[in-house]
Amino acid sequence: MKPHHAALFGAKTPFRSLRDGLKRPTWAILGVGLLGAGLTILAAFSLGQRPADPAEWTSLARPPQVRPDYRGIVIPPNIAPLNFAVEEAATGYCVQVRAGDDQAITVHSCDGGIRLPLRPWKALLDQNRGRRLEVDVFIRDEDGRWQLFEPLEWTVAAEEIDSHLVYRLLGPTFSTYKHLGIYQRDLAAYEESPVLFGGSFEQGCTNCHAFANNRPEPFLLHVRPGLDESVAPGMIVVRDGKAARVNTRIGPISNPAGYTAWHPGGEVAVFSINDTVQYMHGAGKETREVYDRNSDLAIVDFRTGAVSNDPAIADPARLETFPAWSPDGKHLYFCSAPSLWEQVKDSLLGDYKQVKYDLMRVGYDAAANQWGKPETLLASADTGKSILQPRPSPDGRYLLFCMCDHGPFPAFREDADLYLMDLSNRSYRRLEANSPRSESWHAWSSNSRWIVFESRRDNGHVAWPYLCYLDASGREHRPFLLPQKDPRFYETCLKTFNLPEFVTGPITVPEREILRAVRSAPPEGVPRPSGGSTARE
Amino acid sequence: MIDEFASAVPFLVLLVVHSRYDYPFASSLGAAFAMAAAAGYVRAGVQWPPWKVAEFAGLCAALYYLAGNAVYVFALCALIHECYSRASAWTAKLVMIAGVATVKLGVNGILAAFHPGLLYLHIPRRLFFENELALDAATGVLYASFPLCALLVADRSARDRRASRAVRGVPDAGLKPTEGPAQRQEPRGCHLRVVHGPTLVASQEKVAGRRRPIAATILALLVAVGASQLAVRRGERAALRVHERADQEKWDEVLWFARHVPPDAYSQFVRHDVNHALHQTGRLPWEMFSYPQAPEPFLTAAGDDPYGLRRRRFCDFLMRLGRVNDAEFFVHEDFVRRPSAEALRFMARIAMVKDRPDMARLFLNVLRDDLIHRTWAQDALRRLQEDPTLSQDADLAALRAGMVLDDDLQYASPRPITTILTVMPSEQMPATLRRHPPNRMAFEFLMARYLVMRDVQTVVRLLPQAVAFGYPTTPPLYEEAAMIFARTGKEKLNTSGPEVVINGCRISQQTLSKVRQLDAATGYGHVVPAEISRVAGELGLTYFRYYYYRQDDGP
Repeated sequence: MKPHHAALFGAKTPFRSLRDGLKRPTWAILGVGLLGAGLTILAAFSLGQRPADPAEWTSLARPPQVRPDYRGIVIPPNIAPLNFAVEEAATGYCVQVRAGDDQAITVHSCDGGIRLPLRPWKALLDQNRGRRLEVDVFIRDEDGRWQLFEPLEWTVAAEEIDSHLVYRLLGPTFSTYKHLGIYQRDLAAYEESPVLFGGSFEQGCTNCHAFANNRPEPFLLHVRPGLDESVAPGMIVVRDGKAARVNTRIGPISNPAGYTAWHPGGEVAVFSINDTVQYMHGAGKETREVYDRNSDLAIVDFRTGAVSNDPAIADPARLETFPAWSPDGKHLYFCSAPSLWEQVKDSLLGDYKQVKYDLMRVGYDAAANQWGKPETLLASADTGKSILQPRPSPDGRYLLFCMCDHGPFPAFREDADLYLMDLSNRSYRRLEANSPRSESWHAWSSNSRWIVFESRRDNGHVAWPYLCYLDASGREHRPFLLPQKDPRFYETCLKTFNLPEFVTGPITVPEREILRAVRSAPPEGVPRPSGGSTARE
Repeated sequence: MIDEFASAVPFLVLLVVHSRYDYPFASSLGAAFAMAAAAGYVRAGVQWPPWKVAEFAGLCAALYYLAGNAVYVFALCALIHECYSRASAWTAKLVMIAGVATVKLGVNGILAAFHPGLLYLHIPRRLFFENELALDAATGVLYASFPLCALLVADRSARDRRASRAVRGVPDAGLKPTEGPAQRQEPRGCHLRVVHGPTLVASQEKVAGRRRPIAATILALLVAVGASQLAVRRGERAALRVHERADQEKWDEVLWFARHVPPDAYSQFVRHDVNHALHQTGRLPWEMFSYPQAPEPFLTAAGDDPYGLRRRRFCDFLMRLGRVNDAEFFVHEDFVRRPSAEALRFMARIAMVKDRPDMARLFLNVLRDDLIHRTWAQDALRRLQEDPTLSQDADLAALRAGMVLDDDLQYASPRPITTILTVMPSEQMPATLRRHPPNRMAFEFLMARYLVMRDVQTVVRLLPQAVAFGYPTTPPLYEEAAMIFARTGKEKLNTSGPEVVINGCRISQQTLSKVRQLDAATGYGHVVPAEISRVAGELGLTYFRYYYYRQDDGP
């Protein structure tokens, strides 16, 4: 049978001698070489065809529609480029980020996706700390004429933001989860890496990561088994590059630990023990509802492994949750509500809207492990709302907390908003950074100038992280969505960024080390899991 | 002819597997990629072993990236080619075998190293091949058919070559001593040309050699079509036609095809689709018992889920019944377990029904990347852009009008149908009927359940609600149930008068007449239920027939 190419070339083709003279590998090398050369020429040509910057334009008396909405914001001097998409119909787009008339970054786009180059961006921010940047957005119409919108204004704050953000990523979860994990993100770039992915231990759940004083280590997180029931639920503490299980289920404490707060000294932590149940509404916009049928606080000493509680933080008649230490470690803030569930037991909660939490504070003597008498800092009876998730600023001036109409879980409540209390006089106010939808799970940067919180303002369903600047006078500025490399990242992002926490450096302990601890035998006395997997944010 | 039939086997397999409702089309694409790669590999005919291995590894990697398990089809075909190629070195073959085992690990490793943020769905790493690795039976059979047939064809060709050499007197080291020229069959026409030169006979044989595979292919096609249409799971195919028409909301055709579904294939899914079609065509309270019924006339959430039908039907069912939050919960849970475009579409639709345009846009933006649902998603996005409330959408308006308004909090799981379509012991109506105007579908389905359950007392109790739906006459099934209740209840009512009114419902003369004929035919003494059922059937009293029919009584 004749080779196919012989039929193509024919017996007397002039290529035949050339073909015969060259072996097949040589042909292949030649082909690859030609292809490479062609691609190089094409790339060089396309680079050389950079569109011309607008020389003439007409001005439009309105700002451009951009997504994410980065208008009028204050940004950290060490944040990754704020890539965005211009949502205006046009045949071409040009964006210039400039500081006065001196420096500018110019980016062209044919689809409206604006990707700012990293290196010039860093230089621009670094040289303009405390100054204002103006962002000119040009669009080209079908006739090739440029139009210029009113500029966007970005103010570069003098104070940096912590270098990394740690959050939990989970899908559009209602009750069941399959793939979730805790990730860290370099805020100066876009690098994201897993700290612990639940898929690494058979669809396990990982949650409630907590850090001491915004440092990347020591830290802790919690795990729950997925399909692999040999994995015990419990607390994993990472210290000096080593991960280990900590037994928190001692004595009367049978449930695994939940929300946890490190004492600033780093040797003890307070955690909540929640008997949490998820419900669903038959009608209304938000389907999900979460309640604690019971909850208490307890303290674990990592030096001795001792776990204890005290009526001050574990009153049987009340539900205590969301612990947070004052920066000096002398007080513990937490939330507390009267327990109304005893009479309903496992039946549905008829009076669930009456469950409202007070904001509490209790003194603590770390040396003697002694608790003081709890005091009500802010009563739900006074606010008419449930007060949740207190987080004191690292400088001790403020307390950021959340309020919603009822219940212990603001993430699923559209009425959940953030409030700021001045601890010097206990006055508080609702942040202007709130939206008509849920804001919750907030955290402070180590310098008390930046806060991060998760918000459902964009779609009402999945929550994304917003960064917000608080100036020296305690006034917050317009929050902005965590920048992503892809300008249209959030258009198709079905993940919730849950429990964002600032840390001052990257977590360096490898995931496999944490996994080793996850798969290790549970400490003595810890009951094996009974299966099932439900998740909450 | 064996060659042609062997070549046609994958074709036949393709025909059969494509007739499966849940067959993933991606498998056919994978097979096509694999065969294209195999053809390219054989055509290139690279001889130098290092180049050959590099070419093989490159194609394997590319194919695995593109089509997953289809790489094995290519690898096996390439190996078969090498095994029948006299020039191929054994080292190269061995390296290739090792290569195909490692290429998968290599590609997995490379992809796993990718930054998860690069993916728009933000899929955590290590998940790339999780779903793909699960090879379903249909795909497995399809993929296996290619290398098996390649083996048959290659083996046949090798025999022909040896026979051809034997005719020309060329010694063949590969021949066994027992195989002599006399025992071998005549070589085919294309080989005769080599032996005898371009004679007229050879030319004719060449033409015949071209026709033969065409004829064989056409024959095979006809056989395959016939086999797949007539022989392969005939009952199931009839049922699938019902589901297909229900998907397309062609309700009359659903009912027509349902009559051709044999009893053994008349599953709960068919019953559900039929009852739904009866409701959509306004015939449920009239003709429900003209079709087979079972103790649970509608689909429940739990149970096996062939073709993903249950989740789709159940979600749609909940939404139409006004339990939109239940549907939302159900479909989100399903999406977390098994992400799919259909689930996303439901999620977007539910968000639109609940007047949450931002949420709908999020799902639609993702769905816009789907080849099948792209057009629908783009159209929905456009409509949302024009009118975020979609107030002009009649279908959405109907769904919104039927939504339950009374909130009821319960543990995190959708309510079972048995709860949704049940009158509570406290005589409280289901939430779907507590709103104004009540949801007609909920009413008819509730009545249908109680009819099937033979609970005529509850049917009679619900009868006054039928007024709200403006039926031209009281549906005869409800009248029959009322008559049975009047005659068999604890407090027997007088039904012998010229006019019978039961719980405010006046029984039509037509029904009364039929019932009296039934009484006359069966006599007024003790009659076995089976006899009443038989006679009622003859008189067109379909609910009487069902009510008195017992499994023990025989067909």
